[in-house]
Amino acid sequence: MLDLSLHGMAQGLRKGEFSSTEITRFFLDRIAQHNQTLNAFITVTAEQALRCAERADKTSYTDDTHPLAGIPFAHKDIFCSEGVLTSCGSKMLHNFISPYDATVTAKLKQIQMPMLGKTNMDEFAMGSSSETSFYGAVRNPWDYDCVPGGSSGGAAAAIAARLAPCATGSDTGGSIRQPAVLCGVTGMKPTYGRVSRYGMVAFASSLDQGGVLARSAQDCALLLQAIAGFDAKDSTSVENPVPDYSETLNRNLKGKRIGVAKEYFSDELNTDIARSIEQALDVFKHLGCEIVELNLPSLALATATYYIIAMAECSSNLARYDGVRYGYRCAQATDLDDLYTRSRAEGFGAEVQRRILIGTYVLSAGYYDAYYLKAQKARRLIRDDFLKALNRADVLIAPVSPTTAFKIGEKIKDPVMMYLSDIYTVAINLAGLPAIALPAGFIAGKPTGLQLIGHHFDEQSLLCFGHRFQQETDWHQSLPDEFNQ
Amino acid sequence: MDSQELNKLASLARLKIEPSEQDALSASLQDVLKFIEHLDLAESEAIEPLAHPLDVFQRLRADQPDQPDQSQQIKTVAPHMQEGFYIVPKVID
Repeated sequence: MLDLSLHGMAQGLRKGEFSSTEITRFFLDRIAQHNQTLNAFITVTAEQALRCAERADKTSYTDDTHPLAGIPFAHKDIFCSEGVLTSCGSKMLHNFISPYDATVTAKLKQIQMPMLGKTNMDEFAMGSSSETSFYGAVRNPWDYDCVPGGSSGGAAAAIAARLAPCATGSDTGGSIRQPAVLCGVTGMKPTYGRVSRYGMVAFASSLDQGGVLARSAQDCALLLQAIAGFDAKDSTSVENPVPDYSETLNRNLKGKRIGVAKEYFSDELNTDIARSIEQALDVFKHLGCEIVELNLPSLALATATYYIIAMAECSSNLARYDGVRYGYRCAQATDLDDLYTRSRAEGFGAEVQRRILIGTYVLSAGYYDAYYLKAQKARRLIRDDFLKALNRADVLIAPVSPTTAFKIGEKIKDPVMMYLSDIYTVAINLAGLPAIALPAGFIAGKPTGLQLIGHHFDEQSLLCFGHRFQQETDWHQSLPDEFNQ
Repeated sequence: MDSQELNKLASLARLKIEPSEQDALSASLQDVLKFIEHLDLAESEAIEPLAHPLDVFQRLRADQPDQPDQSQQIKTVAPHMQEGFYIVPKVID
């Protein structure tokens, strides 16, 4: 079971080699064994998962059954799940039992995928280390003293330690790709608008996008297929047909162009990470790809632009938490203002408060033009640079993280240092492009990886490039020794 | 950022800042502002701002309810309800 792909599990269910109940119990047992060490799950929904597995087992698995029916998954605690705590890693939502399902939750429930539990994450998805969670830091299965990345750190750690075969995530500035690479798993951030945001707790609404993590691109293709598609409940959802991602995984890459932008490979890039990407490029060349050199002149503006826009949208979105309608409420408020200000000060952690304050600052009278408006203009420059570059290439290749997994506590006291962890990922969210993160080796025992960036709505090519790469390499199959039984 | 500016900002953001936290918070906000000032390098005078990464328009639907009434379920998550009303501290003497 430990080494089975999602496709392998689906086949096993159809051949009667095992039941969904057995698969689900297998992963629940592993969670019971290892979650205390990793802190990857905030909530484990064992009873609910087993009930769903039993229901799936009662209906026979045929070619007409959804390929993921009966296969369990881990759900990021940012997606509302009816009757289950949906905390978003925050004390503010510590008491929030969601009264409804997010569209992503409803889709996975409908095809009878047992939900193993809700994964730990940075509070309101604001962080790059999964340390800002109200429920404590997540640990990296490759080195317990290190972070798993963030904000989808619980999901990435759960996949890396095989506590779940696949997981959902969300990516506002790298929150799927960076933890995927730091934990040695595969992560897919789809095009903005590809996956419904209905019921996904909002952080920065023009950047947030739901996506998936799994061991391989092949597994990501299956899970993305299940959650992608237009949703009338999300006004930013795009009505665009979703192709069959699994059908085109084995496409020939001969003559396909991979763009290499020199701005991503400056002297500042860690030499070991640069070397692992060069080796990956050799694999793609062997598969028949051509390498094209490109420029992204506005890339240097991306991190500042991203943080201005993300914090502005965060301050606006999080204004809804007022201690009145749902979420945390302070005790014995003396008046309405006291209720608002103390509920928010006691309910939000330090990083969230910092972002709300900066977001309020950049949107306030006298500063709007200098910060927010300027950032929106820079966003156009960045987006247009990417579109121009992609006119000359099928995909772009880039690093994901400037380092491998760093120590817990190393950056948490220095917000700017933490923000620089996202230096290679945020521009993709500003441009709304899809990107896949792939494991590409190890540096001093810790995973490293790369990302491929595609045209809007061309997740298909990214999954195909990822799959062909993983047919030639085995980095995505690696498992830390402690979890190999 | 002096304490007056910080307090104004906290008031706009509806966050209570304890006096003992002010100096450290002020310094950290200053660091972040210095970091994002990097954007001053951008020459963007004639550029149209971009709010949405895709060239799409806001979709509208008919102004008709298309969901069942969920008000009862929504009220179950409120921290303090009474007779169907949200309870807040007294606002009128």
